[in-house]
Amino acid sequence: MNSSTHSLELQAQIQSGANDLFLRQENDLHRRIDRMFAGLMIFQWLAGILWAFLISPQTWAGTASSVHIHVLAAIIVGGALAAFPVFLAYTRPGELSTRYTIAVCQMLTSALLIHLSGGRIETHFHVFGSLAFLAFYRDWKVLVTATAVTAIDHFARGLFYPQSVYGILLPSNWRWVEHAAWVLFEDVFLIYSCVHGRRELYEGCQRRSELENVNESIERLVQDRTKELEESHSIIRQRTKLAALGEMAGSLAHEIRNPLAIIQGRARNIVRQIERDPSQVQSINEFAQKIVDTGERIEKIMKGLYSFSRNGEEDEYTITPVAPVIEETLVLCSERFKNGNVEIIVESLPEVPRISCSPVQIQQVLLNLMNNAYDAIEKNEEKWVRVSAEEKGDFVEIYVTDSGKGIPPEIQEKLSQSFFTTKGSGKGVGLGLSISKTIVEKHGGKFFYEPNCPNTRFVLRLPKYLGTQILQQEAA
Amino acid sequence: MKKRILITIITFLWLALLVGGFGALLRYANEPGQEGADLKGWPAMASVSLAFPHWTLILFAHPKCPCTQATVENLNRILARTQNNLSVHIFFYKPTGGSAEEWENTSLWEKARNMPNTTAHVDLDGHEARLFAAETSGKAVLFKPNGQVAFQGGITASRGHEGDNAGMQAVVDWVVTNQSQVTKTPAFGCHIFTTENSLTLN
Repeated sequence: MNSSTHSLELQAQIQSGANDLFLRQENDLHRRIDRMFAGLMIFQWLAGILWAFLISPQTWAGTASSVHIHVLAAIIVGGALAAFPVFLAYTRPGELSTRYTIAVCQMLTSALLIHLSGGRIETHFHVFGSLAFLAFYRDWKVLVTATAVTAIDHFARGLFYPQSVYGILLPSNWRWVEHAAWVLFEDVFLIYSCVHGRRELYEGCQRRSELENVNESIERLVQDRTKELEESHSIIRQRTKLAALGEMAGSLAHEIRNPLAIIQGRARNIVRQIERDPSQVQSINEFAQKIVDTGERIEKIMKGLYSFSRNGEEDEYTITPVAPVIEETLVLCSERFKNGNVEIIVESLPEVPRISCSPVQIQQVLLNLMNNAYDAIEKNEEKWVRVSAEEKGDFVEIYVTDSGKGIPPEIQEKLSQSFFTTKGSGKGVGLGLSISKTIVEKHGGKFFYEPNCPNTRFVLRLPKYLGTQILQQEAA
Repeated sequence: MKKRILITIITFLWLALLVGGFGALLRYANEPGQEGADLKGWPAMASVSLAFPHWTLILFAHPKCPCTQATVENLNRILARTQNNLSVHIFFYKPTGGSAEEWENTSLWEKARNMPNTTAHVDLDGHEARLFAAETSGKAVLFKPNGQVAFQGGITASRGHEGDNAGMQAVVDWVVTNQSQVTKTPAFGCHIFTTENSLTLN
């Protein structure tokens, strides 16, 4: 697609958006003015009744009196003039027929009020006020309708009953033209204002449509970039995890080589025992059992290794107790710690509280903390790492504490920054803690350094699974 | 379909109500009051005298008639145009036993008291109205300085509507030029008397 075609399409899209917006806004405007007129009609009706009551409440014959016809007209005719537009304003707001009916009834209300006032010239201002109100519709055809009603009313009454509209008995035959001309005089300005206002409304819609289009483009771009960034983060997390695993590769090999040596030794024992005295089944059985146990140990290590090394980014959350998650992590690093004479102290882990998590990701956090702890204390005299967990309200807190004496405040501030590391060159890239923090926060929890502990302690605070899917959804 | 028919019927009924309502208003406004007999000259038993050498206009009014407001307004205009050459007496109906508070404290009385060359009177039980053959509030009788009747009738063109009209113009013409083609017009206003007490005029 070349750029000119794209530009034309964009223009058409903006135009179409502007048209939709304009129609919607114009309809909103018409509905709003319909409702305004509904209120005005009711007000005029009540005001007309009040006026009739004050000016001509009764008609008299000596001492007898009865209600004046003006009061009845104000109630009944005024009520009919108000009722229909009010009904339409609430049942068919925004419709063309509604505003035309309102225009007709508003001008007939003027006619009624002019009649009730005996054609007083002051009451004619109601006509001009009504036209100004009708101009709020920004529809010049409404003004033309209203003007036609006024002109016809003046013409007809001027013909048959001039006193009621002009206040005098013998007006000129063209007096209605004079009255209509003053209305037209006002119409010129109002119609200009309607057309201009409508055009301004359209231009506003066009600008808004353009803006919305630009916003949409930016939003799409941000979404694309966010997705790319998320993918990059995912790759970094996976690579960091594998790097952590790499740190343990030597000790893991050792962890596997030892049991293999045991298996080989026991297998040779079996061979020798069979050569010497095959009847000693019990002894052979013991060797074989040792081989089976050792094989299971290797399987456990391999299972943990496999589980850890695979990418768990897309894993669905599972509901699991924290204990096995911790234990499986410790299997992976126990040999390294043993070789470095670092004691792993595991305090009793609670079985009951369960968490909704991706076990692989939580293991990644724990392994990272274990490796950090190892690196920090491997040259100390006192070398231990304590792993514990406990329930705290709606959360489970996992503590990884080492025998170090804490982290200086100036370094604490930078702990969660990416690419910040205190390890020597080639030992770390400074992403472990920031990734750990991201993982725990994605689980709806909190990852932090505990400054009040006399030793170096990191805390994983994870929400407990409360028997619903809410936490899982929040984490997702 | 049924809904459409119903809406059409309601619309027609609504239009009919409007046409009927406006029609009734017009009819009422144009319906003159009872005319009463023609007065030939100054009644001998009248409680007021002719204002010789000036013209004298006697107006009869029901103090509570809303339509007569327009008559009084038009009378004001007549007085402005006749330049002190017209003396006006307005007789306001008051029934026997009626309190002054109720029958003499009305806006019409208030206006009449403040008009130039005008004297307002209580017309107890419409005694003066009977003498001058007036049955409708707003009926005026104009006397020449010599006591001849120049004009009798209403000085509004319809009920409660101010402004120029034949009666008003006739009064002005008579007083100012001593001539007019119009000697009689219908009066528009409330009945001065209750129906059973209507006049049997002499």
